[in-house]
Amino acid sequence: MRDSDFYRAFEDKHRGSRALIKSRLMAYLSFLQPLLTLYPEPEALDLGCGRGEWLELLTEQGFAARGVDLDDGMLAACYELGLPATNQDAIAALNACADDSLAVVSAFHVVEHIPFETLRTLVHEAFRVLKPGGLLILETPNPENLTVGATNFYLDPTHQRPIPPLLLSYLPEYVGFYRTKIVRLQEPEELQTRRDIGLLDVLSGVSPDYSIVAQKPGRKSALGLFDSEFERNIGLDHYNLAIRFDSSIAQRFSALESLCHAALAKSVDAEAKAIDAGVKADQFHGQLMGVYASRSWRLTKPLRWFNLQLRRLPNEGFKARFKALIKKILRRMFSVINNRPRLKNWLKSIVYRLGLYPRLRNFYIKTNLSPKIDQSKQLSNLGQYAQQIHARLSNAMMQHNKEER
Amino acid sequence: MRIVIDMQGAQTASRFRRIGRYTLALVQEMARQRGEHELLLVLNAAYADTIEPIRAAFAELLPFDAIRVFDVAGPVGGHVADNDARRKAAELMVEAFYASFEPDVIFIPSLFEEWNGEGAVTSVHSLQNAIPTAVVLYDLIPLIHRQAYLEPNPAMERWYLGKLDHLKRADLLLSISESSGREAKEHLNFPERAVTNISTACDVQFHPIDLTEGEHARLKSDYGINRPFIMYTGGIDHRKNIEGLIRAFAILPKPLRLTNQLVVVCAIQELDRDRLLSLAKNQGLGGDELVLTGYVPEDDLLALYNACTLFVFPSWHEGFGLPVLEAMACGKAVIAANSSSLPEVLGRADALFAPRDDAAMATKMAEVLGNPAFRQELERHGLAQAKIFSWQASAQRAWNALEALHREYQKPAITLPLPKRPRLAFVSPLPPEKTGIADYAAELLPELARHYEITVIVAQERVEDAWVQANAPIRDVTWFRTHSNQFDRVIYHFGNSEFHAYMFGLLEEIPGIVVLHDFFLSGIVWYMDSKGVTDFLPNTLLASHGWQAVKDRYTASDTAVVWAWPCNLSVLRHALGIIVHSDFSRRLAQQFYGAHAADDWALIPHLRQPAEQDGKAVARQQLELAETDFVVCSFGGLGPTKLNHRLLDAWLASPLAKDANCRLVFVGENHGGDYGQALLRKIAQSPAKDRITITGWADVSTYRTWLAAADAGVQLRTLSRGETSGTVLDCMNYGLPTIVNANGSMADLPADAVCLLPDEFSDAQLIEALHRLWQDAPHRTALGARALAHIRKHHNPRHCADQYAAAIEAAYIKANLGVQGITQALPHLTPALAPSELFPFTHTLAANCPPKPRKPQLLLDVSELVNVDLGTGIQRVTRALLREITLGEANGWAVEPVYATSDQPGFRYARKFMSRFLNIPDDWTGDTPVEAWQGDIYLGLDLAQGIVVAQEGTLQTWRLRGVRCYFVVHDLLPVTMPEVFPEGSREGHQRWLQTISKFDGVFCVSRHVADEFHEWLQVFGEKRERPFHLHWFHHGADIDNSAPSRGLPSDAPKTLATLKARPTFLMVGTIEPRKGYLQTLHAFDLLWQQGIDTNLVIVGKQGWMVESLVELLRVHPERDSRLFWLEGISDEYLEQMYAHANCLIAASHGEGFGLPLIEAAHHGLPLLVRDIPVFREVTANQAYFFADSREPEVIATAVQDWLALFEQNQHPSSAAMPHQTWNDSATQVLNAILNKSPAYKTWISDQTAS
Repeated sequence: MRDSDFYRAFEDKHRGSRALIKSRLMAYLSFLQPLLTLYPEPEALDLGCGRGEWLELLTEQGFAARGVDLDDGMLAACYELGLPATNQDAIAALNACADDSLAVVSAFHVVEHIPFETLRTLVHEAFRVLKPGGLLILETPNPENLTVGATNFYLDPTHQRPIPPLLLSYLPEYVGFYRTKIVRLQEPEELQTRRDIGLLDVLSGVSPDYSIVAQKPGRKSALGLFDSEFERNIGLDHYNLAIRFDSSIAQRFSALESLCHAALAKSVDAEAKAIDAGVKADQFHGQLMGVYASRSWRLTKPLRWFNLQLRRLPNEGFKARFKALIKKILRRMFSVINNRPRLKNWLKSIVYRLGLYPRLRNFYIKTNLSPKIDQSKQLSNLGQYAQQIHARLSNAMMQHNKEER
Repeated sequence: MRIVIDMQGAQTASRFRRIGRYTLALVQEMARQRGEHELLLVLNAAYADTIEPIRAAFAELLPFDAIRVFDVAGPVGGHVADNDARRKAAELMVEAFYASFEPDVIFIPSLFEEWNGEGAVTSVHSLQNAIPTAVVLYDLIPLIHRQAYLEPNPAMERWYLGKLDHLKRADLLLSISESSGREAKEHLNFPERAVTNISTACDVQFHPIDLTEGEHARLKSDYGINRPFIMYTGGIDHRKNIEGLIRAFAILPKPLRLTNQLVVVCAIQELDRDRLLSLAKNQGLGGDELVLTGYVPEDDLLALYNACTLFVFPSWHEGFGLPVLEAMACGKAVIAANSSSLPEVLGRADALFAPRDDAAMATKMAEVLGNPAFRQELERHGLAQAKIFSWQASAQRAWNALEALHREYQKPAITLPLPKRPRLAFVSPLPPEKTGIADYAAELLPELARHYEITVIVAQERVEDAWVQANAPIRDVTWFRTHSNQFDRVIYHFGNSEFHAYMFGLLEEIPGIVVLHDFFLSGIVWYMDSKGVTDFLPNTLLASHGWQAVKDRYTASDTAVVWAWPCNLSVLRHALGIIVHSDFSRRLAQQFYGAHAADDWALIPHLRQPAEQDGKAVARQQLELAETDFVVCSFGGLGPTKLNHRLLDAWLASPLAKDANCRLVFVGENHGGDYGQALLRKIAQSPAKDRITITGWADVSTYRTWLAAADAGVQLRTLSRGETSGTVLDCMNYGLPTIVNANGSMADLPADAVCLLPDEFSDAQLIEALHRLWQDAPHRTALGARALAHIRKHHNPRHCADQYAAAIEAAYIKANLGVQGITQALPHLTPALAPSELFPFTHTLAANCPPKPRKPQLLLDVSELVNVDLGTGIQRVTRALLREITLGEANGWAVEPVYATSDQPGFRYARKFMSRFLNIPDDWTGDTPVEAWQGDIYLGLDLAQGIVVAQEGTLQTWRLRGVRCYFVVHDLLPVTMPEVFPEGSREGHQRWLQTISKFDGVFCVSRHVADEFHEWLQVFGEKRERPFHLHWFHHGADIDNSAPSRGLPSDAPKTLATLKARPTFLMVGTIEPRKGYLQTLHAFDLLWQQGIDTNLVIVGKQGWMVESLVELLRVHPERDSRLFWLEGISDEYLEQMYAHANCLIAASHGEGFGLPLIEAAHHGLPLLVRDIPVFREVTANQAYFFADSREPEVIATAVQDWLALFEQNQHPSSAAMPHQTWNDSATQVLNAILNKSPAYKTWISDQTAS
């Protein structure tokens, strides 16, 4: 058996039939629609086009689509259908394209086959050749799905390493794409709405594939056409499923909790009455009594806090409230320390000597206990003016880096 | 002189130490002495808790705006290499922040901020060398004693040497003593003139006091001091030489030693305590002879100074030696080491000893203790010497030194020629493009090229200009985008035609100098809008002129209305410098963007290549004109704004029309529309039609031929938008006598070089001017000659190009102090800033360097309205105020509605909502995050309790930065009458009140609410540093302006007819316990039982806690015959109710305002109301009052009494009740916010009660 045939047979067996693949690819159509209104007969390039399902779909939609692949067995399928595909390396194909010439660059189940450095080059080149507002689509197995990440990924001996969504989505962001969307795909549809989530669902129910759809900067009005797609939530991640799994367990505890709640509700009543009494008293007694009332307000603070905890407990669960409590205590502690420089330095020197400083510092930053202002890490969280500055700074950095190289 | 002072020394951990107190005390005194100088204090937002106290400390001394706060993306501490990139970036930024205030001098009272810290950043000349910088020098002890202080601690050494590098770049050191100044000269090679001693002072609390017996006893019991004592205070540190002091004490003559204790006053660690005690033991000191007090409070320190017999300060090395001064100020005998600064502080040679000689120290101590006369002499000397040192004296010296620095420092003048010709990208249309700017650029280029190596950047197919082809590379825009960093300078020529459309985006990417040939640029922006770049125009209008302009863009039928708005703001903001050709443009900028908007604009006359003067005969030959013809020309494309029809009419009406030798020529392309057709018709109909010509588009050579051939020029304008009038200058350049009107920039022409008509001239004036030019040849010649002379002098191309170079260079020097400079410097940082750090850095940079020009924002929080419009009374108020404020006159302010949610930090501009609110499309905008800066104002218009509480952090951040935050308060009822509100209301409201009371002030909807809030503050108000302001305003009565709802139900006519049948009493408001419905219903039950025939109409939705009342209403026997309950009716139907009822009953037990009262009064409806203070206020007593009781009989009786009066027409009328419009309400709020009217009340916490 020739290698190329092996691949086609393998794909036929494991990726599913041509029709099935094609129907799955339909998920991307809504991303593509606006491109057709922006550019007449937009060009698309599919890297690793395989049997050409995607090319076929694009062509049907009105794209001038062509593909490259290194596997002649696969390409044969394209030729059979008269699809424009050639045997060429993905990077070489991109290199051959002019700046700002393509509306779509895509690669389905390619990136897990290539070294990371090549992947970086691919994203860089894609950025260069895309038109303003153009899209880069990279689809790959989703390691968030534990079964995929631990087993199925390695079914294919040419797979290099699973690529986590955060890494793959960061690349285009770093290169300068306007925005990047993680699209999770192919999960069992009924799982979206089902209530009783089991452990097996958590392990294997997460979308088995995902892709990142990255968009090159363009005119605001043009980019606006894609907003709804980029804002839509697609697919299932492990976080979501795990939370739902947790909450279905948590429901079993709720009966117990409501018992607690009833018992403690009485203390809440008592508190309300105490406060009322305090307020009425101060209406009669003027300023002196005012001081007392203010003290009573402060005295009841623990009670009110407790009341608040009670109300939040059923909503957020024991674990979250416990964490919040620890955080509250730590924050108070750090604030006390921060305001006492001598104590702070002394503690620091001890921690240094114990060799704990880097770990504690990391923890301090990670848990966000520092009193610092919430810093924006996302372009969309920057205001318009800040975005303009950001564009200028990153442009200056980019031109500089180019020269350095 | 304007001076920026970095106050971080008073913010970091230093604030607990002498350096912090020094910074604060010195700068406070400098502020008192500032005279004509302007002072700006710069604070770091990372030390949030310190900002309010510092603002309070300067509240009496400086205006609020003089304190400016910057953000830093940390951690930036110099002790860890990990922080290097962030720190260096922050250093650039902090300098840009200093420079943004355009100070003459920067002053850093504490540069070494802060060891082991993570937020402080100080910097000297990392970004710029253009502003002289002065730094206070305390000492160089760590440098001089490196082995002891730096080498054992590599992190400290790293940090210290980093800071030292900045110190060495300072232009002036202000040392705290002669001695520390000397060290800077010796160890850092500073020249004499760059170091000035400004000395220091101690707090005024250090003075002689008589201690009571009780205090002596306390010192004994607290510290074990039981006999006369020798005192030392300071730190425990190697150089302080406490060991020497103990050894010297030990060898004192026995009698002296036994009668005195040695008391070392200062915080001490266990290790040091053990060491000193064992040393004392070894020296033979026992029992209580050596006392180590440990830390003592300030009051005890003062008592100890006053209680001691002798103060000894044996330190080897000091920056100043403050304890010596404090002890002297307390009138004590002081002896000290003869080292470093101590001799100058002590001021007396016989009080000094050699610190490393124990015997000498012991001898000196014995001399004072054993000789009371000498001791008293030292005490007298100490008091006198201490008076030399004061904050007044130090501040005076600091000012003198800073003034001298400013005098000495010359702003770098730009001298031409430049040392090397910088590379300049010249972005402009060039010939053959059919625009005057292309020709202008072609004339400018050869002259400008003397100063720059020029590449022209064009968006046209070909350039037809011999000079360009010979001398300048021609590049297109795409090439320029990727090669912009090859250029040192970029210059853009902006005009009001489609040739400039691509420049808007390009300038945003690649900033440069902008030559503004037209101020408004509205034509080109409209052109772009019509070509499908649809978001630019409305966004520009909003940014520049607010919502009214955006509304006009979509709704105004006459585009001229929208043409009234300049569309140049994004160009002005991205330009690194602006060049204009006339003062008119500068005046327009001031008019639209504030008095200082055009301060640094350069005014450079339009250059003119001298025209040949003797070509007239040849030109006339070419144009087939006779020598005797009198030719009047008007140059430039024809159009309504050029007033060509006025010239045509005047010329036809003048004697010139009747003379066969007179000709009128319009040199330029005719208007393509109706206007052009009308001109042609008029010409065709006139008898002189053969002598009137419109030439059509004239190329450069034809244009010049006409200029050479003409006898006179007429250039008229109206609706000028700041464009340059090149054609007038062309006329003058050819020595033509020219008639102009004083419109736009033409008003700036010298009156003796043209024939200047008024802007709004009459036909007669124009006819007269034409006639005179024709008839009066000598006048004509003289005027032409003066025009020519003016052009030669002021529009000389070489001279203009020199001005260009000077303006470009000056603008780049300035731009390099700001965002542009940082953009240039940031890529070169080593180590480089990580990509992930770029966001936080950008965030802070944008916060620290606001765009210019900009109007301050008035941010109206309408979160509740945006999230869900419940249509409550409060939301009606919100909508009415929102409409009045956004569309009204908030002169000089950018009014922006904003919103937030309770689950995500930060506010967003409510632009989508606002578009819907104004009924215009919303596809041009997005709700981007709000960016707020110093000088902005936030007003919480809505009642959005949860959201405000959740956003407290964001609001606090803004407030620190200098954004003032106010809230509208509708009532305190959930807190004052919790029993009539659903469970939890009280807590929610209380928490909200608690939050808003931490900000700047409130606007209450009545005086009564303001009074209640003030009372609430007495009880619950938290400690604060600055006063809280309480204002009140009243609602408007014009329902029409609160965006009312419409619609009548089908049974309305029947209901209204029933109301006419008998006297009708109306109640309006949500059905809730507070409103007194139940009591009123019972009252009417009584009346109906007594056979009194009246209607009761209740208008209002069901609220909370009224289930039984509602049931009562539903099944009431009188329902729909004499009792009516109308739920959720439209505002229109409500108006009908007001019109048909006879009296309004307001039975509520508590209200914030009582909107139905004024609405009823507005309809002339009499009022029957409960006697509570807020109703007294709102009705101004123009109502019939019933007692505030819960008995139904009270209301029943009141209704009967009122009916009796009503029958005789004796009831109180509401006609005289004062009511105002929503516009008045908005004005009340705006006046208070913009500080035009004082607060009704202010509140500050009682400091002792906290």
